[in-house]
Amino acid sequence: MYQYILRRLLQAIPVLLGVTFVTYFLVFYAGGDPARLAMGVRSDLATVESFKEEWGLDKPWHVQYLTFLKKLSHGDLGRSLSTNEEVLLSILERFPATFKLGMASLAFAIILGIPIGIISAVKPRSFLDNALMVVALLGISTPSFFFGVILVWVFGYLLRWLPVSGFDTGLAGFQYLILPAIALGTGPLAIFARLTRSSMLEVMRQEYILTARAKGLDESRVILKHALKNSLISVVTVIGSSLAGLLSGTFFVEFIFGWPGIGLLAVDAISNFDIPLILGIVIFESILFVVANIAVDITYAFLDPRIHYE
Amino acid sequence: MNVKDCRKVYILIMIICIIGVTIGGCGERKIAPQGTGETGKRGGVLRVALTGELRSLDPARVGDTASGLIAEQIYNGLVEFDNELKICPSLAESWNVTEDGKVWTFNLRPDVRFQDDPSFPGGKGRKLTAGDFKYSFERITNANTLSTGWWLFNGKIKGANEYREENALAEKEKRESRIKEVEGFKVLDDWTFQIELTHPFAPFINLMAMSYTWVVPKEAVEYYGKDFFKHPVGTGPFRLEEWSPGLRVILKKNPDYWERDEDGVPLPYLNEINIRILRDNLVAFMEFDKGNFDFSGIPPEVWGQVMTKDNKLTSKYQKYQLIKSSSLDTGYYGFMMTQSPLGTNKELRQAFNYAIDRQSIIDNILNGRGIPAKGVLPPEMPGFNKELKGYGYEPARAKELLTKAGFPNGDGMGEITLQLNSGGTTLEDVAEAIQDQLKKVGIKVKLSIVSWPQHLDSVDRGTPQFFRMGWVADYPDPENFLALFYSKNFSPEGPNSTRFSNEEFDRLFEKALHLTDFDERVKLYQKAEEIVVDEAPWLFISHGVGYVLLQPYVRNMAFPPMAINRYKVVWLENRDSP
Repeated sequence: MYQYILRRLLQAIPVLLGVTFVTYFLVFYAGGDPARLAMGVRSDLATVESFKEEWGLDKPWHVQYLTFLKKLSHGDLGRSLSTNEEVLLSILERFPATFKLGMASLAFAIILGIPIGIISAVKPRSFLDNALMVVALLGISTPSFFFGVILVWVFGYLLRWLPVSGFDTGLAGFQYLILPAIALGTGPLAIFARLTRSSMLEVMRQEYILTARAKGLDESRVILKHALKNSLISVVTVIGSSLAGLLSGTFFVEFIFGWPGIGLLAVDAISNFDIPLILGIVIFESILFVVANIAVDITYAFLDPRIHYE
Repeated sequence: MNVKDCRKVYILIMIICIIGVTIGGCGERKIAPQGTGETGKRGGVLRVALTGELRSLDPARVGDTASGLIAEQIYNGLVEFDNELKICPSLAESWNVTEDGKVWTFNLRPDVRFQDDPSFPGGKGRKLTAGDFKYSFERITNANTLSTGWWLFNGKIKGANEYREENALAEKEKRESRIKEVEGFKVLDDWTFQIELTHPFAPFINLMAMSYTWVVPKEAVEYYGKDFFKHPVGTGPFRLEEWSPGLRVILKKNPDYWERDEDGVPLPYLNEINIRILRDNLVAFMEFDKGNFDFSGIPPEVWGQVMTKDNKLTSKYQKYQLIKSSSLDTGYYGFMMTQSPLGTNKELRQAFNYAIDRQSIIDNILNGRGIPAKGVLPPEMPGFNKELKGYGYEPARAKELLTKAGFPNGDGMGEITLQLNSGGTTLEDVAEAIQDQLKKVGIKVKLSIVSWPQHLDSVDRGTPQFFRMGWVADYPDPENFLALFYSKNFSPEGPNSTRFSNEEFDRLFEKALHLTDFDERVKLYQKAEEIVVDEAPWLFISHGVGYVLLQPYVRNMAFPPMAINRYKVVWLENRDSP
């Protein structure tokens, strides 16, 4: 198992290098002068040039990229061009908020999505099944930023039930979490519901389910113990990849709800053309993605005894 | 005492009061509210929505509005602007300038202390001295600080450029600098600071009210090093308690603050300012309407619900106070003067200006929040020329001028590309309206929308022939706007983004810089502005007007032009301290 994890981590290195290379290339050729942006329109050319020299922005892009990699190998992501804050510190300061939002939306999606899938599977092609699946389809098709704006308008402004923006730690922060978690979690919720339903339907057709029923087991025991457990393997795969997506795909939702996480930091970094910060966030998110996927693979082994990693 | 006598005494008191108010102090000192000494009117927490992220609270790098708003509460400079944009004493009690306008001497208040901070021995803030200003100003001058405010001193202070160049060279060669100080910054004694200019620069005193010149203690800068930007230590009315990036900033009252109101009551009145960082003006407005903020702008999305057609509050919102504020800015589209045909054909540029219905753009797109620009200077700017006619909406005249320019009905001109930056539907709506209006006189315009960094970079390079831009005053002096047309200020070295060049304009501009009498300078600036309007290197559009809603209990909140926010004099009626 450890060898497998090590191998997967080593395999991730070229992926991360590729991601940083493509990002660096795209940012460099996006047009615009980060030094001019950082120093303001009133600064003279000499001052802007000094800034470039100080930050190494006067060097050819491949030299800048290699310098970046060299620093990265020492765990140094540099400092932000616009704020002068350490990039790693900025990211680590913002990550707990993104993690909190990601986990809350995942919990929302799991707690509602899986039961909805089970209910639909138990009564296939009934009115309830059709209604739930239409809602799930809407959930998959509605982008989170659009849904977020609707939630802000309805619950924040018209009904005034919940605050539309803010963040706090502890229980006091729960009220701020509800709307963004729903906005972000609705898409995965719909996916989990549909997947649980199809997976359950497939399992319910298996002979061991027939055997269980023939033994006179209670229907709820058949569904929850025998059918659900075996249906969950495919759902867990999607939950794992959704987690990575939820942690790295919060840009729009964080922006709409003013949620102080990495997504909001990324929006600032892009609008300020803050190259070190953009690269730092890309690296961090890529590592999150890789780690989440490895974690999913490891979880399989626990859920399904037939799977072994050599 | 009979009724007649009472009336006489009353009239006498009134006369004394009027004389007192007329001759006493400047505007800021006059705005102290009645009875602020009463206990019920002190304390409380001001709740502010800030729609933008802070970048730095180091005065050497405070350039953006969000950081400026916070830093303004933490620091002081030698002087400051009052609500009428007049210069007032701040840390300098008084000042004088020599007849030749080159040597400025500032007498500092002796009773000012820096805020308590671990960087001081025992954590107790020490007394401010003239040496602190010398240190702060030399810090901005030093190239290694990478201050965005160097342009304030560039070429103006005796010995500053030499100091800067030598320090930069020494850093590169990794040796000690041979020039240890700026000759023009002199400490005469602990409370007297002198600045010597290389040549007279009439608006100089305005520069001393700008954020870059706020004073910082050497101890804190050295103690925090590169992280000083998030550990600000100043002499201002509030000190930083918490800065959670992307979330909130909390400022607490500085108990040792030196300033008092007219009644001798120590400022600030508030105990705390709680600033929440948001991203969206609409969200900020909604939270304000729910009672979670003490003031808010009115976003375009809700304008029709909040305001009537004659710009008054609708009945639902009449519980709030409405404040109208104008800003010292001019929105324009620049013609790149180095490119043909726009840059080389005056009639063509004038035709563009006559083809635009500015009032219709303001009414229909900007919700009435603007004033048509007749020239370069906004109406609130001292020296504004009320007689300037500018360009009205005269499409027939625009067509005549097009013919004169050699392009009857726009024939032979081809399609002109208007470049603007992305970042808001309003910008695009205005551009589309202008595109439509120009089309009516035969001018075909294509829109090119690029990111702000790309836009700025290409304007710096002189690439776009027609581009959107705007200018917000750094300080309230006509020089600050007219510098955009001075031929020695071509971008990217200076702010002249259109590369406008006119010998007569340059002569008037330079002459005005050397005059100390403001009225004389204004005469020259007005002549210079007339040249600009006639030559039309800009398509003049509008000056901004803003509306702010306040909760009913907020007192003494003012929104003067240039986004000055002095929360030190704000108080909350019937709101006890938390």
